[in-house]
Amino acid sequence: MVRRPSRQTVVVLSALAADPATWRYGYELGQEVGLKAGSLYPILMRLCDRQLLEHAWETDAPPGRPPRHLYRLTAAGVRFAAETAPVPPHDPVKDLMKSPVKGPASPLAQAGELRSAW
Amino acid sequence: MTRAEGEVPAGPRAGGGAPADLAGRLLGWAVRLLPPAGRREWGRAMQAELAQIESAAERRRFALGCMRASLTQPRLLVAAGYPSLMLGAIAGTVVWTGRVTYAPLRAGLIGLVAILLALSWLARRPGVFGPVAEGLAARLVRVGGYLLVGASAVLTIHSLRLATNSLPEKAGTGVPIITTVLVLYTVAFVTVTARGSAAGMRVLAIGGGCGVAAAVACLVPVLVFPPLPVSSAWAIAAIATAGCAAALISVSRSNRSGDAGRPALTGVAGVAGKSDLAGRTGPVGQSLIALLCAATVAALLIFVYVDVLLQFFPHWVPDTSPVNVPAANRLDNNRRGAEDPYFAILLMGGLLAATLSTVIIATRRPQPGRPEPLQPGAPSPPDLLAHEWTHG
Repeated sequence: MVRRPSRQTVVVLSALAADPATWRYGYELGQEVGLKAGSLYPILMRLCDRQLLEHAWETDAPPGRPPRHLYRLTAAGVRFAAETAPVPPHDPVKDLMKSPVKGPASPLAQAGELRSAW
Repeated sequence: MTRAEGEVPAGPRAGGGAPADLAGRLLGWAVRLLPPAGRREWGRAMQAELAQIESAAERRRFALGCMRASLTQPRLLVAAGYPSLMLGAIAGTVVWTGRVTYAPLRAGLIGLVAILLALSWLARRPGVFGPVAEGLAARLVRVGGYLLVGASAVLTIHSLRLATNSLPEKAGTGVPIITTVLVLYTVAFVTVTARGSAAGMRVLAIGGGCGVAAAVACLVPVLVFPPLPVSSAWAIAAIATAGCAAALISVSRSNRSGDAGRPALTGVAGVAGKSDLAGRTGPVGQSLIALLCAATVAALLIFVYVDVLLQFFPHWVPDTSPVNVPAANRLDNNRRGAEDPYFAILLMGGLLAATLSTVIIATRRPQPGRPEPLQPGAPSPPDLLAHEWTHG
């Protein structure tokens, strides 16, 4: 059984899954998701250990600079990211605004029923 | 743009860079903390990222983060955790025995803990004592044995640290004896559960299970009907019952599976598995190991709970003092009188433990990569032993 990933891991997975074909640098990825190296690298290591993330070394590094490590999700990683993607937060007001008010089955009508039940 | 995985480029400073600043040096230390197998590559990745960062403050933050990542690697934590635990136990003993006024007694108590810790450290290294065999039963017997020996050591320190009389006798005789006995138990628990031990998982499960069952079965009436019996005959009976039951169960199980000397795949409660390679002893040898294991476990467990009851629950201390002993001294006197027969139980268990260790060392399987010196064509002592047990 796969253990449910931490919130921080889900954030990293979501950032990588946004463009799964693109190789990403560790430092930029950390800045994008707001994680420091102390949190990011253990997550990347674990994802690699579980073969959800592949990594490679940059081959066209500018002269005088060492090649950097690059990361992207594997096919299994993309699937896992989709499974663990955070559900957008439920906003009842927005839901009500979106829902057409017609008939007693609408959320607004249900809300009214609930209010009267109080 | 990318290089294949596994092809690790040269380090970040391969091209010859400027001397490392504080962040670079910090990250260098962090990388050295990473285990070489599988993780060192990550260190080079961190160093390459650092080389892209210009701001000094940001470089420091990044290097500190990488240091945190290195320090929290599970392998490092496990590697550092055990020595820390040992040092903590020694430090705790030093502090706890701070009120012992007689220095040789204090040194003896600290030495007791240090020797037991050294044995447990040796038991993690390849050799006669370790590492622990693969299998739940081996781990349970070893951990249970450590807990019982540790509890005995704690009870000993607790009873001696506030002692005020006969201190030279306690330091010169009592502590060395208890240290020797606890060492015998520890050696038995680590040798019988070590990787090269001839004791199969099934035998360990039977031995450990019977020992615990017999001791716990005797605890129930003791708890229900205080105080503790003055005589320890009931404890001797329980130890004998545990040993006999373990031997009989072991024989019946080996008869059922055909051959105890073969890997037992139909073990007790699923603990026997493919790691059960008790190939150095026959069914009788395995039964003997089960018997000794059960009796050793039962003896130590009985001693531990009896000592807990005597030290912390006065209601369970039998009144054996003569009528002329004043009330103020009565409990201490009763306690000393009650302890003696149960200390004999501990000593008896120590002898059983020594016998168990001897049998296990004599029948030990050679470890891969460590061939035992043998005369060409001559059967090894374990083979001879197995032959004697199997064929009478």
